[in-house]
Amino acid sequence: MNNNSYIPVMAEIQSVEALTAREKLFRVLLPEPLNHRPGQFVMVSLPGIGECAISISSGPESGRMLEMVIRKAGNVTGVFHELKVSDSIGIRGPFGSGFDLDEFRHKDIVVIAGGLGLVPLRSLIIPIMEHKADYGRVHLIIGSRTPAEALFREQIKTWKKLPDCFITELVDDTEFLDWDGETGLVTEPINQLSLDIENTLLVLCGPPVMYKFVLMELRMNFSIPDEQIFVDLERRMRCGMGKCGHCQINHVYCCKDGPVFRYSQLRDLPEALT
Amino acid sequence: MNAYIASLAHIEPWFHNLAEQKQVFFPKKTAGSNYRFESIDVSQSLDFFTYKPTILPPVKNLFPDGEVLFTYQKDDQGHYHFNQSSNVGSQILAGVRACDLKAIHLMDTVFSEGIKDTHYLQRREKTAIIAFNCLTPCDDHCFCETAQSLDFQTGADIFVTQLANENDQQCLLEVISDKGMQLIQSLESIPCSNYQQLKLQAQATRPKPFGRQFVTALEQLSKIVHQEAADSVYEQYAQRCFSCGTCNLVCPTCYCFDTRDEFELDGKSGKKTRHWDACLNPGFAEVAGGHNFRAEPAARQRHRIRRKFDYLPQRFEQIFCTGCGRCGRQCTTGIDIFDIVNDVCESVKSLDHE
Repeated sequence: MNNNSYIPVMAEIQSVEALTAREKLFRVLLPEPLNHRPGQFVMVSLPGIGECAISISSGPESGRMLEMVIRKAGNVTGVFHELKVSDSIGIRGPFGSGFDLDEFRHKDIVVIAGGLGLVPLRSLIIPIMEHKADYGRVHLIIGSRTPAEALFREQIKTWKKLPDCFITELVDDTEFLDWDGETGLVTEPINQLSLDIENTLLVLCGPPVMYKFVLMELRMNFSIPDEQIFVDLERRMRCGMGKCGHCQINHVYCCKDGPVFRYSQLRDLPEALT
Repeated sequence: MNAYIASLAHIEPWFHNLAEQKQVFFPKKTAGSNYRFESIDVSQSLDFFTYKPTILPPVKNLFPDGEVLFTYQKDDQGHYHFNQSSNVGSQILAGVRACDLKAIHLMDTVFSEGIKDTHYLQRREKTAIIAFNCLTPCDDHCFCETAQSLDFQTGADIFVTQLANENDQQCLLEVISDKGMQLIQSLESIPCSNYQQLKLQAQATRPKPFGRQFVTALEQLSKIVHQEAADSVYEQYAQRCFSCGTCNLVCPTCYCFDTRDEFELDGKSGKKTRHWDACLNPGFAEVAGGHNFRAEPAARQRHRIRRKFDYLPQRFEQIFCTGCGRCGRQCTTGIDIFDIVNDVCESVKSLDHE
């Protein structure tokens, strides 16, 4: 039966790059183009071992090449970290709503990413940077715990050279390591932003603790409507198709209705952000 | 529609006859006072009409725990070959009560929505249902009338009503589908034209009210379960909840699942299976890194109640509690969804009056 939606497509690993002590960037070649939207995710598996929901980190024009950053967080991701070039890995998807790039064109964009939050948002930042002339001012506020955990620094350098692109990189603590960015939390640069509210879209992704404080800081400084704020959430998932129930947030399903939501969709839902 | 009348004396051998051709499941009393849906054999006498609700609802036959989603083989070149076993046998679920029939209908809706669940739908297609009309409440846990499932008939292939005031124990059999038509061929019966009248006469013998009743109309519950006053009720029940998840496992409309991957010792083959899961278990809404979005038992209890009366109804336009009473019957500490709902209604009402 070929319509069994639990059977993955096997992709071949093209490269594995250790980004930090815990995170590796996998580039895998799919038999068919993925045709995803920024912010969507895939279910990544090894038959017999296990499966996890993993964000797509490559831009929508990446064709058959899929990029994912996988943190070694448990048994299954631990085995993924053992994989080498030319090994195969199972992919299902893409799943979820994702971002609609048409809505972002000609807008000013503020992206606030904490820790691994940069990984899914990279799928949105890449197409914006590749076609920068089609978008307005872009502010990126990127926070990591320490310099050793900062991701994609070389790529961020190339983004910094683009016109109307303002990037603040922060760490909570330098831990005596070399660091040429700022020190502090991602909330700190928010009050220095000067925004054309009507023409600005905000995108947030980070650990659960980040949202509350970032939203509070945004509230204090700007009267930006909740419809213009996007959050990209994380949940554990088993099916990706709105059935297994694990990612349910009140009446919405992170896997089907999200993982990208407008804040206006989540504002009144307990358990969405904390 | 065609309807027939047959006596119980003929129906029992008819079931035995059907059981020789395919698996027929029927409630069977086990040691103790509980019933289970079990495959019947010829020697077994059947407990018509007096059986109590089974521990597990019959819908679980369509969504078995540990179902194989696929198997795989890895060849010498390292390529994976996947296979979904398609040798699902046909089965007859007999003695299905209206509440359980409604649950099957709800699951049909859930598993056909969006990306279709071929595993469930394949089993469903090969399943025939002989449903039984309820004329008395099963026990004091049942609340099917107030949950609006007492007269549910959709999805049955044959619907059986025990006729009133008959010494020779006759039954009315409404044949609703082609599958039902095929099954009834082998039953000694006589056609019946005034079946609607006979059914209404039989149903007129039902006690009024039929089982326990919600204090508020079902249609209002989606709003009521969201009131702030309800939170203290969830908290109160959560204090005696062990978070064991039994209520989820016996619920005919709980379908959350976990998946497992297993490999054989040869390292080259294995399977993926799915297993019933329970949102009352503490780790259900945990994510990588350890954050738990419903760490408190009260939050999990609230999620269960809202899922039945609001979240799923928003998506499928039907209430997802059938009033079967299983969660209350099986709960170690006697937590009953019926009591929670009524207490929530009362607490919200008392606030309105203040």
